[in-house]
Amino acid sequence: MSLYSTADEERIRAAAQVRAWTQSGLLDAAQGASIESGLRTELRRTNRALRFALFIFGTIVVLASVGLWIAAFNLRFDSAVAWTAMVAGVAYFIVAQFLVLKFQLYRFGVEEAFAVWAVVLVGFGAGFLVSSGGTYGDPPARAALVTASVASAIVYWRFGYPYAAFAAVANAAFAAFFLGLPMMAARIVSALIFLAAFVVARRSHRMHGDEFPGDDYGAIESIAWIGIYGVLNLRLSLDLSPAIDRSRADVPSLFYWATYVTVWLLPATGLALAVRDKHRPMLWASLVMAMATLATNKPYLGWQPHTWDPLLLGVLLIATAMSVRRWLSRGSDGHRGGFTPQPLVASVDRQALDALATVAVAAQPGVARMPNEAPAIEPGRGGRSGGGGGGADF
Amino acid sequence: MVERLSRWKDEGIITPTQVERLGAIVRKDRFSVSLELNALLYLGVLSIAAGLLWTVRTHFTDLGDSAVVLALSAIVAVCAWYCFSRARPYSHGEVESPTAIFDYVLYLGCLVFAIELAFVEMRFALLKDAWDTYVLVSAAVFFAAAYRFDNRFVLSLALSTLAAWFGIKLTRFGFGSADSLRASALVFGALVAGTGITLQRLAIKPHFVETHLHVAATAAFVALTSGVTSVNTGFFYLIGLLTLAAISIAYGIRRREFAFVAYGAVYPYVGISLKLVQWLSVTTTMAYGVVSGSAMVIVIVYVARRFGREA
Repeated sequence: MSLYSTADEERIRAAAQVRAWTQSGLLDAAQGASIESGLRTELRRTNRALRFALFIFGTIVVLASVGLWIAAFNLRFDSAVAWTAMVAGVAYFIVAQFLVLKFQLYRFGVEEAFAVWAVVLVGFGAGFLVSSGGTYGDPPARAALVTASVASAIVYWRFGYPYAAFAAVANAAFAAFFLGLPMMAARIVSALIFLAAFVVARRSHRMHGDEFPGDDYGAIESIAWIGIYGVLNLRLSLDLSPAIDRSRADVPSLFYWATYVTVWLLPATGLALAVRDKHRPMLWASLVMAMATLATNKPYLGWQPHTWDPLLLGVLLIATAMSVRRWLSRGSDGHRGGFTPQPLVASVDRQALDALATVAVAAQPGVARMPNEAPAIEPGRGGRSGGGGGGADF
Repeated sequence: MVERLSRWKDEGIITPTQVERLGAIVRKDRFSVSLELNALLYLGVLSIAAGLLWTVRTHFTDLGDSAVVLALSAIVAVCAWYCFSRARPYSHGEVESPTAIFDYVLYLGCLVFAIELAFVEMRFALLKDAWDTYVLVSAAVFFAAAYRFDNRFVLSLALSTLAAWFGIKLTRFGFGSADSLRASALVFGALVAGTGITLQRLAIKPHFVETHLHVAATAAFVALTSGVTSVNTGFFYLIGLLTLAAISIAYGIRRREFAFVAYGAVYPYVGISLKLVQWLSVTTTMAYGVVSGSAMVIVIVYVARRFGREA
C-alpha cells in the first residue's frame, strides 16, 4: 500500500496543472491562487534544486554510514560485507518510510536517496552473498538483479517513484542475460519480460486513464516499449556493449533479420498507439526509437557509413517537423483530429526549451576547444584551431 | 480533472469559457505537439551541423578549399538573409519568434559560421599568432545575434565560445588543472555574471540573466573547488569558495532561484571535504561523511522549509 493517499496524489498533480495554466495565462493569478489554496495537502514538498541537493547529501550519508560500519568493525569476509549491505538496505528503507510517515515528506530528496540506495544495497548484498559462497559467473549477477527488481517494485509500491518502477522492470529484464541462455534466447526472454510489463502497464493505464495512477502506468508502458526495442536492436548493443554481445556471428541470421524488421515495426506501432491514444510518453518513446532505427540502419545492413549521413538525418528531421507542422496548421481551426502544432500550455514548452538552451552550453557540435599550448601554425596546412567555435582541427 | 473544472465553475472561480478551453486540454480534445516538433528541429540542426563538420574535416582535400568556403558561406548567407528578412523589430524585452523555424535557422547559421571560421583559420592561418581572435570574434557575433534576435540557443553558443576563448575546456576540466586555467575560469565567470547583471539592470533582455548566471556560477565554483587542494594557494581558493557560496545562497534565496542555493551548498561541501579528508583515516573519513552529510541535510531541510516550499 502506498504511503501517500490517492487524494493527495491527485491534488498535487492538479495543483501542478493549475500552476502551469496560470503561468501560461489560461487562468489569471487570482484564480490560480484561489484554486491552488483548495488543492493544498499536508505533505511537505520542496523545489527541484533543493530536492536534488538533498538527494546528494542523503546519498553521502548512506554510503558513508555503510563504509563506516565496514571500516569500524574491520569486516574482511565477503559474506559479512554482503550482510552489512543488505541489513543497511532494509534499515534505510525503514528510515525512508519513517521520514515520510513522521514528517510527511513528498519527493523531498532525502527520503528518495534512502529508498533508492536501499534498493542498490539490497541488490548488491544479494549478489555479493551468492558470490561469497564460492559461486561465480551468472548466479551472483542474477541474484543481484532479481533482488533489485523486487526491491524496486516494493519502493514503487510504497513511495510511488516512477523511476523505481522503471528500475524494477529493467532489472527483471536484464536478469535474463544471466540465466545461462544463448544470446538469442536471452534477448527473447528479456524482450518478453519487457512485453509483459508493457501489457500490464497498458491495461492499467487504459483502466485509469491519464489521471493518477494512470499517468504513472502510461510512463511505465512507454519505458517498457523502449526496453523491448533496446534489447532487440542488435546494433545498439553489438556496437556499444561488446561485453554483452560480441559480434553478429553470435546470433543466427534469421534472428538478426527478424530483429531488423522489429526495430522498424516497434517505433511505427508505438507512434500509431501514441497518436490514437494521444499518449505523450509513448510519442516521445516512439520518436527516440525512430531516431535510433535511422541511426542504426546502415550498420544493420552492413552498408558503408558516410560523413554526410548526419547531415541527411538532420534534413529529414527538419523536413518532417516542418511538414507535420504545416499539415496540422492547415486543418480546420489549426488542428487535425485535435492535434495542433501550437503550444496549448505555453509555460510547459517554454520551461522545457529554456532547460534545453541551458544544457546546450555543454552540447555544441564542433564548439571550439582552445588548446592550452600556443598553436603551431603552418600556413596552408592549418594550425591548431578554435576559430569561431569550430573544431580544434580538421 | 474534468470534474474539478466543473466544480470550480460552479463555485464561480473560473468562467464557462475557461472551462471550455481547459476542458479541451484535459480531455485531450486538443493535443499540442509543439514541444515534440521543436525537439525535432533542434536535433535536426545539431545533426546537420555535425554532418557538415564531419564532412568538411574528412573530405576537404577532395572538395577543395574554394568549394568548402563557398558552400559554407552560402549556408550562412541564406540563414542570415532569412533571419534579417523575417525578424521582428529589436526590443529590449522578450520578442516572440516570427516563424516556427526562425530560432533554428539562426542557430544553424551560427553553427555553420563557426565551422567556416575554424576551417578558414586552419587552412589559411590568416591571423597567425593571433589565431584565437577568431574565437573571440565569433563569440562577439554570437552574442550580438543572441541579443538582436532574442535566441537562447545562440546565447548558449556565445557563452560556450567565450569560455573556449578563456581556455576553459569544460569537458576536461579536472582537479589537477593549473592555477592559470582556474584564474581564467574565474575571470570568465566574473565577466559573464557582470555582463548579465549589468544588462539586466539596463533592462536589456533581462530574461537572459539566468543563463548568464548559471554558466558563470558553474565555471567559478568548479575553478574554486578544484583549487582547494592546491598546496600553496588552497587556502585562498577555500576563502573564495566560501565567499562565492554565501553570495550564491543569498542570491538564490532572495530571487527564489534555488539552483543557486544548491550550488552554494554542494560545491563548498565538496571543497571542504577534499581538504579535510587528506588528513583523515578511512574510518574517520566515513564518520565525517555521516556527520557532515547529516548536518547538510538538516541545514537544507531548514532552508527548504523556510524559503523553498514551492514544488
